Amino acid sequence: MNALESSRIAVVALRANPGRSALTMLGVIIGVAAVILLVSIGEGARAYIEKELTGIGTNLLAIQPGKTSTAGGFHPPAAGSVHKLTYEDAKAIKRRAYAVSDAVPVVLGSGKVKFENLSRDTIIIGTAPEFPRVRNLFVEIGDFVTQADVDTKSKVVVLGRTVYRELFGDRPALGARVTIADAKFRVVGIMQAKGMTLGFDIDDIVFIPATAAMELYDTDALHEILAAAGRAEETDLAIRQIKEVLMKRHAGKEDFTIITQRAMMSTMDTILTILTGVLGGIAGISLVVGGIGIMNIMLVSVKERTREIGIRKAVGARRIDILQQFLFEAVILSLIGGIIGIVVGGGIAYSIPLFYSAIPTRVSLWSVTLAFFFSVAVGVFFGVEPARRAARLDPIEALRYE
Amino acid sequence: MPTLIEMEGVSKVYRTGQVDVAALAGITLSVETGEYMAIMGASGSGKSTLMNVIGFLDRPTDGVYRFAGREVENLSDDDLAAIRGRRIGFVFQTFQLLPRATALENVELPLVYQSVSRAERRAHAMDILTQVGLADRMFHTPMELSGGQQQRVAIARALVTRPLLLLADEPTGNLDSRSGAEIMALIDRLHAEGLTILVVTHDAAVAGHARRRIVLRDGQIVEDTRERVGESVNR
Ligand SMILES: Nc1ncnc2c1ncn2[C@@H]1O[C@H](COP(=O)(O)OP(=O)(O)OP(=O)(O)O)[C@@H](O)[C@H]1O
Ligand SMILES: [Mg+2]
Repeated sequence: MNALESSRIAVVALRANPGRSALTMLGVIIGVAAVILLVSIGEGARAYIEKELTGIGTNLLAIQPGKTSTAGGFHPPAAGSVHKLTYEDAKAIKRRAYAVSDAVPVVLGSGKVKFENLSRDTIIIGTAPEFPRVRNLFVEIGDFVTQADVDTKSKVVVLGRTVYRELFGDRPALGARVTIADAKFRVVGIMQAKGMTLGFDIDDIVFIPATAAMELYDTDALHEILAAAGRAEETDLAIRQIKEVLMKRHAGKEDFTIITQRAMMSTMDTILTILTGVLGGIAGISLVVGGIGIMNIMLVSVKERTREIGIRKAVGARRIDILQQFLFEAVILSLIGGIIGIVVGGGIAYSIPLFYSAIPTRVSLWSVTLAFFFSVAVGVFFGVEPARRAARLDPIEALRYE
Repeated sequence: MPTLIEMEGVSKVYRTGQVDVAALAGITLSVETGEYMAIMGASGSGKSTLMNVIGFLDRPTDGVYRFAGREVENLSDDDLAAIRGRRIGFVFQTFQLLPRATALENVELPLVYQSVSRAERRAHAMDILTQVGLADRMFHTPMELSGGQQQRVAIARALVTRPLLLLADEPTGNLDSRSGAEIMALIDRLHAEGLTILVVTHDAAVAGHARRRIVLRDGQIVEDTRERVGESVNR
């Protein structure tokens, strides 16, 4: 008997019990849809971050204090053992490393920003005029921190969109004085909105001159120096020059780490690939549960149809014929369930960004292919045992079965 | 006439718990092509067991069984299934029709397992159903048919593969006397056309149709009588 014949018999049997078939399929549908959906969220996050990181240029370098073994990870330096990175370091890099076009000091802190009776806890970045250029940010109203501001430790602040909205609503803010840690700062600019990403509000931020920030936090240490090579091909040269300049300034010790954009991307990529795998794996468990549902119903079905099996054997069906018939039933259930699951999961994945722009999704061909073959494999795996039981039945006993 | 069935000391022992039940205890039997034989005996004497063994549904525990010259012991389960499908038509006491399938689909079933094309097996099944007088009931399911009609569907299914041997276990057991007589007339006609027929029955009138009669008791043949050709059927 050929496969076409077996599948016809299987379809007839499945249609004889439409409710049961549909419920059995539902298990697979949910499993496959969950796989597609969760993987698409993981993939979406990965695609988004790749795009963002690519947007700020592959020639970007971050110099952080302390020597770390693996590129990309950040470990706070052990106290006393290393030199801090200072504003002078940043200036020296810019002046002497000619392959470096920008070297921007970054002082990172957090605190309350107050205006009149309103206040907001936010991230405070002390930096220099080149920061927006390096990080691909734009000022919407007014100006960013200028070199003169940095040189004179001016108490000026540029507000991120969210901070502006929270403190000022729609009122004009330029020239207004806000309080940051008991000091008055004059608002000189408002940043363009960047939006929410993966739950992080990147507009919830304010910028002040690096020198003012160091005074505010009473420190001369930078959190990092952002540098950009003049041209992407000169990134390696820029790294060598930065090392040279800094080691000369740090008594010959390499007590800093230079992280390249490439390393940041690959770290992010690794994290998100693992995340996607974990999400897919969790969803895969529900698909396995769906498979157990198939096995369960097939075992019941074989039991119920013992007599039918006896009749088929009595009129000449071989073991393989019976095996095929029941295996096909299981596989057709999982196959149709898989296809519906892909459509449902893919549909939800596509529509999520329409309602929640903060959750980017991407339905990738590999996840669809994988889910499809996995669902078929589940059908085969969980269908084999019931089908073997059916095929092994003794014809006489099967005919006698009530 | 060539010998179709040959049995030498065939026994069948069922083990139920501690006790062994010998449903067949040393059957030696030879049936030629074209014979029409009735198998009689008390309930539990082993008639159905003998039919099952002859029809390849069951294997003997001991002894030699040759069908058309081939020894069963040397055949695999799938070989037995193939012979069952092609060479033997089985009519069961309890019909054993697929309840959800139509008469036509039931009759087609043996051909499904012989890779006969859909069109061909449909045409063939229709032809056979017409021969047994069910041309107007082909698309009814067994539930929509009377006992006699179901029995005729079962006979049509047994005949659709053009077997060498027809095995009928109590073919009239569940039927009223008129339906029973119709069925026996049909079987007689098949015999006249040259088919080898074995009928299990309790009913002497049914056995009277056959030309040979064996009686079983406790799994052994205790009587084997033949009519000479031309002798009257109703003695
Ligand atoms: N599967 C089985 N397991 C155990 N014993 C069995 C089995 N099948 C048949 N027997 C026993 O074998 C003997 C013969 O049974 P069989 O069905 O052949 O009798 P029968 O002559 O057809 O009887 P009836 O006229 O009632 O149909 C009986 O004693 C029965 O109990
Ligand atoms: Mg019986």
